[in-house]
Amino acid sequence: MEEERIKFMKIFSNIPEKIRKEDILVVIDNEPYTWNVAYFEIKNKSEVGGKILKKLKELGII
Amino acid sequence: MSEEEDKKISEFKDTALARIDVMPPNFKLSVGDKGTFTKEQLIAHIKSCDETGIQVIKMQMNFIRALTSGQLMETLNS
Amino acid sequence: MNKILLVTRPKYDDGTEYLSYYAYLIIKDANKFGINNKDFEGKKVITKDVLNFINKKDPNLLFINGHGSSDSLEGNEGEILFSVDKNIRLLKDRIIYARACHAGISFGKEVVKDNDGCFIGYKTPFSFWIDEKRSSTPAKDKIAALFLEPSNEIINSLIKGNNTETSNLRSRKMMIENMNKILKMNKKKEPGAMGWLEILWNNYDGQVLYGNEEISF
Repeated sequence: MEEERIKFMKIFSNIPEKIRKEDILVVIDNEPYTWNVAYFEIKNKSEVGGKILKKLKELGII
Repeated sequence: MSEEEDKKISEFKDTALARIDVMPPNFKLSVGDKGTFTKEQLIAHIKSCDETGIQVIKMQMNFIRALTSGQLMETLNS
Repeated sequence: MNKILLVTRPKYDDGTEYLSYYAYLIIKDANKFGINNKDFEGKKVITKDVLNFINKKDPNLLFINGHGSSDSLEGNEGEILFSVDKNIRLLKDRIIYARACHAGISFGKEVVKDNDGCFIGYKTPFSFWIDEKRSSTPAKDKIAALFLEPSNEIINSLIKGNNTETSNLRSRKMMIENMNKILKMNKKKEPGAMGWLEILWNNYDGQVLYGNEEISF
């Protein structure tokens, strides 16, 4: 998932602050994640972060 | 629509529901020729993945793809 | 061909009520500038009457509001006004702006084939948010305005003498301005901002121009 992680970080860096804070990017285990919260999970390589990356890849978003 | 795209639409459904759920209750969405819908009606359409629901999901996917590809920000900064 | 603006604005659901109101703003301006125009409103958007007018008066600018599909445009309550199978040749060499969904997929391309006309429309559903607190007075609905003012700009620009390319670009520029406006909104005051941005992007992305970019009204 390291490749996907790097891709996500690059995409995230170009997203404006308002969208990062407010836009819901993905739902994992019935919990919605905004870009900011997804970033936090992915950056910290948490279990949820891994699930987020997997889902984003399946959706063709990264 | 390809089988792959069908699958993505189905996978995106829960995200679409969450995105509509945060909309304030006093707003309705007029969706092309499908009609005008309250938040609750949009949620019902998305859950049932009918024509209207799929249309709304596609619009959301299109937006996120524009965000992740950089196309949206490139346009807004042009 | 004659310098006449033809407007169809059926009114039979919430969406078409708003489209009709915004089209009315165009007619008001056309009257103010002394522009010859014909307004087919509500139940008067009858196919045979619209076609008769086009045949007799030969208007060069058509502003079609309502619903559509990939190969047709509709009038009142879903009656087909024009389709790729019938009467599309009547539209040749004219400027058509179709504020309807999907007509930009194939109808728009067929309309301009082998002639000097221009079609501006949408290859995706033209959509917009409505503030229900304001729905009985569309004029006061600032959210719907984010979507409908840039759309009106196409015709505003054309009746001021700009060509189709300029008018399309002016509309697109307004959509960009409105998307940037949304990005500056305060979340507490405008919690729906992301939803508005998403739909306005889809309208922007879906707006297409086919045919003659240099034709003017």
